[in-house]
Amino acid sequence: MLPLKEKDRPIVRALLDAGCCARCILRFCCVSLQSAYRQNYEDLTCELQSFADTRETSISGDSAEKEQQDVPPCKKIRLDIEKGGDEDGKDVKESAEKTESNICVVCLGVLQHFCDKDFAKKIAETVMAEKYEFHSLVLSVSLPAQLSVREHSAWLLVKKEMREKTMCLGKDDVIQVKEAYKWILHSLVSQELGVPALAKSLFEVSVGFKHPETDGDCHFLAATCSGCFKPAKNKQSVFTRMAVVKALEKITEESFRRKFSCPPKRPTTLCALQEIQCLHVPVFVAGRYNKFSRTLPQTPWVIDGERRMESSVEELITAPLLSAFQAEGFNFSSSGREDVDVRTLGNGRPFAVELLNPHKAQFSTEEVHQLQETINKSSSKIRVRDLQIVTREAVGHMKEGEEEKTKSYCALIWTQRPIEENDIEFLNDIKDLNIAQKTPLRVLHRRPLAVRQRVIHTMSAQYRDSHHFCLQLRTQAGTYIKEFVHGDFGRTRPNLCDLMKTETDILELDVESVDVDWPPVIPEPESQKGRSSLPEHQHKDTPPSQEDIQCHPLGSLF
Amino acid sequence: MEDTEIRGAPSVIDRYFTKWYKTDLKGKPCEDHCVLQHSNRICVITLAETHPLLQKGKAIKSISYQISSACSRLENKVSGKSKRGGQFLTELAPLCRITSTDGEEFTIFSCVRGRLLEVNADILTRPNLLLEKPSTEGYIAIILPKFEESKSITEGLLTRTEYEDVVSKRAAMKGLRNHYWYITMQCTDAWEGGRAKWHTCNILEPKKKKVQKGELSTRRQFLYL
Ligand SMILES: [Zn+2]
Repeated sequence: MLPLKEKDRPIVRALLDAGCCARCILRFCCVSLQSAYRQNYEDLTCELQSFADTRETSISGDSAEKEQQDVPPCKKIRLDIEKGGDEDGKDVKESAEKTESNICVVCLGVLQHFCDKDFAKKIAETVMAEKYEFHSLVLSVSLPAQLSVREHSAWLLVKKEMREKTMCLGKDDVIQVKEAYKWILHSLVSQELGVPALAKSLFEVSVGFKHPETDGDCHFLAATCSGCFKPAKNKQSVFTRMAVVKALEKITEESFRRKFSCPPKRPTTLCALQEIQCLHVPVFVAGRYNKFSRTLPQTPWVIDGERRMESSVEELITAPLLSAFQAEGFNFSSSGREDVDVRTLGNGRPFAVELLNPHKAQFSTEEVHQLQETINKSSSKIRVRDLQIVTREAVGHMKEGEEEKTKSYCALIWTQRPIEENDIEFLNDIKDLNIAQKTPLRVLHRRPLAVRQRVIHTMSAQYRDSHHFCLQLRTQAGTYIKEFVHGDFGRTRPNLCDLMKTETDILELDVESVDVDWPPVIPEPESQKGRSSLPEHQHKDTPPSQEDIQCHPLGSLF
Repeated sequence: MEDTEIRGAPSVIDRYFTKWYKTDLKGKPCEDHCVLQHSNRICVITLAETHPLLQKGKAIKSISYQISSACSRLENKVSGKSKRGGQFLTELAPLCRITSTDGEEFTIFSCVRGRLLEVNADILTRPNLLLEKPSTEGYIAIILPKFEESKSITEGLLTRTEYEDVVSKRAAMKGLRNHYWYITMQCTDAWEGGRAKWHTCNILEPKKKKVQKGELSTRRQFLYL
């Protein structure tokens, strides 16, 4: 029994006359009983028809009379539905002449012909072919924008009926096409695929419809509300669903009625399925990386469309992840970055990778550790630790407070003037040195010109020879170390040249630590301790030695 | 450079910058400028080491970025990544005027087309920077060429080698000063990047030999001191 009340009767009649389908009528009567929509379409139509045909006086009385009246129209409609799908042109035409068309003027057939077990099977087959690993699903529906125009037109019709009966219902109370559609389809698709349909599922199956015949329905809105339709990149048409809804909120009832028929004109064709697409929410993987090479950029280095330098930290880390998660793409981010010629030693630099549309998303701790091993075995130029799956929210920790954090560096310094050991001792006593850095020339082409105040918390100098010493620095994040050493045309003040009262230059730079305590440390499994895929010399987390200087041709370092 | 031997590595300028030169600016002998172009296209305008200010041990009386009553390079301001609001300069736009204690005035020019990013206010308070560290802390200005012009803006400038040629030829002629001489230089057939390569360089005393008309087609340029 349908949860319809006496007040709904005129609405049902008006909508039936207008060519609305049974499920759309339920929507406009604000029926929120989901099972009502899941009923067999033909049965539902019969029931509604009989409800409409019942005389108001007999509603609570003689049911026999009601049933008698029901039969003929119900049969008629059932016939139409059967013939609607018939390929035989003559029959279709005949029936179309009788009732014009049985395709719903509002949903254009979406709630009539794409809501059955067969269609659910079709969705399930498409999903299975994509070979995703998933444990639940959620449907999303994309409808042609003109459906909103037609919905509005039918709504005006309902409003007129209500006004005459002095009822009040808001447009917001009407059940949305999408909502009704999901009520029906969710359980059907869920049965086919054997997983529950959950509103918050990580796996989304989107079904898109198009209806070229009525695409022109929206066009009149552009004349009345041109401001709503602005051309946007990557949109084929300005008549997006959002823009149409916005324009419909603005347009007056009179204006709408003048330009669009109310009720909407009957369509001759059915909506067509445009696509069934699967999308798994991104998975975030975080960790820390060391970079042992002075010829490895963090991200692919391309100048004038030409690749410079083979590989990159980003590629070495993400290649095994992409294949394991069978992801379609990725976004790599890290807590700051180092130049191509700078090594990152110590505990490494925190990073996070967003893996887009992964086909496989569930990994055990052991599997993730195995992935880390795969990355580490693939190259001796980098090493990854603390690899783990994290939430999107947690990735925020990496960036928050980045400016306040300190960073430790070790630099090999050259001095023009010959130095003695005691010439550099004074550097150890300098605490919290404030420096002013103009945007370095080397990045000025892509960053705004500004003077930034930075703090060098501590320095510690170790004598090497009469022209070289090692300088360890602990600085505020964002300090440009190279510029602090060579002065950048005097654009960083004070700089090491000022302090040393001679020209100084930086020959090598290592990041010793990035003091961001995220992601959490993952202890190495017992079985892995003391075992490593890296050659011994790659583990050296010590300041660069004289050998390092000799084995790296400096010309290629900078 | 001699520095390279001491440090065993190229200097900051040698690592990141290409040196370009413009000699005898506006026809004034030896008023040479040096343009340091970073690999990211930014140009730093400096005095070349052969500039009279650096050669004759002069002292600086004043430096002014006020190049006309209406325009001061010091007031240049840029904002944002795209450096909006910066003065746009052509090759011969004056950047500043430097007066030496002996009363001579020198104008420093932009040498390249582009947007002025900053001038060096430090040399106003410490003019000796200009004399002691002309190619680093004593720079004159920083200019950002248009992206699409980053290659073409240096076409009219000399490379380091060409500049050294000019300088050595100058030295060769030094002894001939106070006389009028014709110098004929024969070009190669091809002009490379807008600069001629010289095959020969003849210094001729005009009274001894007259240049034949027929030679003009191959001997394209005449200079005299
Ligand atoms: Zn419908």
